[in-house]
Amino acid sequence: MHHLDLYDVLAVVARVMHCDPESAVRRTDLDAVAQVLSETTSPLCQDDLAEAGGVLLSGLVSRRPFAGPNRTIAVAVVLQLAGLNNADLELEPVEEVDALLDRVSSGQAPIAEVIDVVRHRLKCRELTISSLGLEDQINPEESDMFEKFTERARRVMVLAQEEARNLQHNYIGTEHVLLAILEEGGGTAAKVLANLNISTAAARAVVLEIVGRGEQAPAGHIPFTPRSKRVLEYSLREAVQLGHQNIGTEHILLGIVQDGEGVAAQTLVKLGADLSKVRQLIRHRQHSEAAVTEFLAGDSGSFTPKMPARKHHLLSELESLIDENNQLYDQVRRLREKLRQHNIDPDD
Amino acid sequence: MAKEATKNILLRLDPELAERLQAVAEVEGRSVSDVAREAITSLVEHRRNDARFSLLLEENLARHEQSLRRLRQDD
Repeated sequence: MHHLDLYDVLAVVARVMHCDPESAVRRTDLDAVAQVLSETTSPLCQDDLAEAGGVLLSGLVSRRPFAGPNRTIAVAVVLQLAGLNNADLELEPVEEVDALLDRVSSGQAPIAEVIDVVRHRLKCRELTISSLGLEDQINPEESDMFEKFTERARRVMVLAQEEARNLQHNYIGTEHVLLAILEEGGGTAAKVLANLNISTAAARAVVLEIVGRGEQAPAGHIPFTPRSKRVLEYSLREAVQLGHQNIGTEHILLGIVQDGEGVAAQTLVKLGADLSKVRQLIRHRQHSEAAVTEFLAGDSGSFTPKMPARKHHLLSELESLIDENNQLYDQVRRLREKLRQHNIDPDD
Repeated sequence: MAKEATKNILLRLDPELAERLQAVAEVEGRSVSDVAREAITSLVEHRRNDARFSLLLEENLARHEQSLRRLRQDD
């Protein structure tokens, strides 16, 4: 989950009050804001947007740290927190929000109630090119392509930007896409790479060996290189050829393999992967997953008519196994995020 | 509540950062709060220049403009 820091809040203050950053700093009780923000990153709020939003709203309204339209700024800050987490907060009917915030101001509304209201008013926004900040980096044809990405593949695109930023590169190359696939960790591509014993730490070390670290973290959007755009085009072709409706992480990895010459492909080879073997493993995994999906949907001719009881038993076993597996992946991802928030490298 | 004419900044800093600010202030012959304010201002400016952050903020404010305008003020 994306949390706000003090500078995010001050940027919202400056925009709402139409003033410069220095003036926003002067008009804000920084200590109070820092205190409220620290409460939003407590273990309870760590992965719960409604919880974090409720704590933030309650804290900013009750402590009134802004000299100016405090309530408006507080709500705008919470809207920004929601937006950065691909959600939106319904403010209408605004009279109800006001009534709640009046009670927050006078210390009559328990924080649990504010969290509850926020939870009921939060709406998940559909991920779009715009929400990913990619609209000015790709042409319209590519824009259509991004709309076909699975949610996990879109997350990989966002992480690729972060990888580039962390390595202080002012471009998104195939290497950042590969690192993002590994970092995301839950997709078919990451599982295939894990089977080949390719870890994020090892891949990052090889990427650094090949291209090194940049000198300064880039500000704003980071553009895709022509090669990484080509890899994304290949991923679309791979999905089309396989008759798949959406582009998943496995198609992106297939695109990297098809390109074969970028830093990502070089990294895979340096880590001992045979690119044709990677392709083979992805196809194998896709077939297995398709078979399981088909089976779960009840279309498997070999099981359905003959052994309904056995099928039922196998189905529930399989479903719980898949659930458990997905939960484990989610837990690992959350743990990695927490470690990183405490400046601990999860791969160290 | 912060006042319009507030000039003092109260911010808890970790000791290492406070020491660094002190060092910069001494070298440049300025007050620590002046250096701190400048550092914070530049970080806020950096955030305002982040296109995704700014776009999202503008979208949020535009989408909820009417509602935000109708919010009662508590001060």
